[in-house]
Amino acid sequence: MSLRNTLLFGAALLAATAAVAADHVASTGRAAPPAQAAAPAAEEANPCAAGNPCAAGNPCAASSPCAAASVDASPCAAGNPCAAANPCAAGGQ
Amino acid sequence: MIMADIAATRISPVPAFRIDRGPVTTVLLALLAATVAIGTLVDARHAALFLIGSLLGVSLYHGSFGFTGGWRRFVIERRGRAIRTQMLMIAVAAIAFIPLIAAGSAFGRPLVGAVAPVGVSVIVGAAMFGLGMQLGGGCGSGTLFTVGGGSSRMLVTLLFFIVGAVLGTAHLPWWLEQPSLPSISLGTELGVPLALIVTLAGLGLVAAVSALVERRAHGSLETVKAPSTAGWQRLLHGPWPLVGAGLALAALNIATLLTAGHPWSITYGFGLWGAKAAAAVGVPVATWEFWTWPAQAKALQASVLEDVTSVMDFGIILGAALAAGLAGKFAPKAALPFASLLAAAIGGILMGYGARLSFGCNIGALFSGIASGSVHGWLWFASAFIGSFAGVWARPLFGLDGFRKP
Repeated sequence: MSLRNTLLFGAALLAATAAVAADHVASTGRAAPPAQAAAPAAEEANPCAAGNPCAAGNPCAASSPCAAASVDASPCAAGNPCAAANPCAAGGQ
Repeated sequence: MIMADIAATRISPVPAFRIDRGPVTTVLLALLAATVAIGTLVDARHAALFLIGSLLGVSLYHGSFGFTGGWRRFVIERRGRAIRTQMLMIAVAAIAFIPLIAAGSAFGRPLVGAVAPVGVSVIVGAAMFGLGMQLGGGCGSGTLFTVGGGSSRMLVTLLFFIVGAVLGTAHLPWWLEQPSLPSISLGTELGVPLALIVTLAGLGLVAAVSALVERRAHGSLETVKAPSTAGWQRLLHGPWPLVGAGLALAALNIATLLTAGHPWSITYGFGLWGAKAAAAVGVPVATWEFWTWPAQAKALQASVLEDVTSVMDFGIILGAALAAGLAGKFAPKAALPFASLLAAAIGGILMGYGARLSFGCNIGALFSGIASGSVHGWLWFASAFIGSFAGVWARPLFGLDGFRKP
């Protein structure tokens, strides 16, 4: 076991832990406005939004604007909510 | 001393294992604290996903399961055991994924596959990723589990991986304007039975070709040496058989799909961490188009602990650290020449940028993509393999082994 590498790992672990804690605290502050705080509750109550995996930050489709576009469209109308409003599917580019 | 002597006598029939007690104790405490913290601050589901991540880390480390070395060994030595194991792992996951994703939900949770468009961005991004993983010394999962094992070189790769992922988010909208077919899901297009047959046949074909190439080069397939450990000792201290690790990864990816609602993914977290870090020092990433898309804007604003991919990545690192400590191999000593560090940095940037362009890495695009029945996963595989070939050729330029020894 290399002492240098162990210390480096320990330092990186501590720095990462501090960064995660700082981000969590900051995100709590960012969610403070009443309008924003109310949004998640409304989303939870809406079965279409709550059950829409496209809107839930699906990392598999994260880079795809298709996922983002489907948030605004009505996912309830189609069996596959991700494909329902997929602009990439229009015209096949 | 007397007690130690007695203890040594009592365990004498069993080979003594040297574990790295300090790292094991520290990591166990960190795992416990993080599980409680995530469960308290977010919810039990995220805590469960963190634990699934830690089991993935243990499996990756004890199985030494990486794509980079396996692909390199195939092109240099014509040994395809690792590739065949990867195909088996994907096949097992596909048998569960394709019907589950077609069903749309399980246990009341909506399920979505790793399905993405099939276009230029995948071809270019995957080729960059393949080149980068040979220079960086590990793919997405490989980078995480070797960082967890205490490798300082791979820490450099990870840092630049994050930088590349952020750069990828800056340019992705332009890449997505390039020619592309839409997302093609075999399950949707062909139906579940035919999609399964096509996927399993494709995976079987790759495995068969690897076996054919190996037999032509060596006359027979490689045999596996008998392990020096067995039972619980082998489970705890490793090494695990490659096939066993692959099956464990498949089972844990299925558990991820059922718990998270989507398959296992790694590199989305890197881009998010980099974007948060950049925003913290004043870079206006929130105005970049990618980070204005609703799901990404939400992730950027929310706590990183609410991001499934991130908590699983944290789990992988800690799980691998635990496995390395239990194996007595934590933080190995290794020389770090400048050229090697340069390769790690270049490789990391290429992987990060390429993964963002191609909708994931070996895990999110190749493993989860093909198992989800997405055609983009197959295109990713072909492009990344070509890029990896170029990477093997380039490795000696940085003093690393490749087609010719450095």
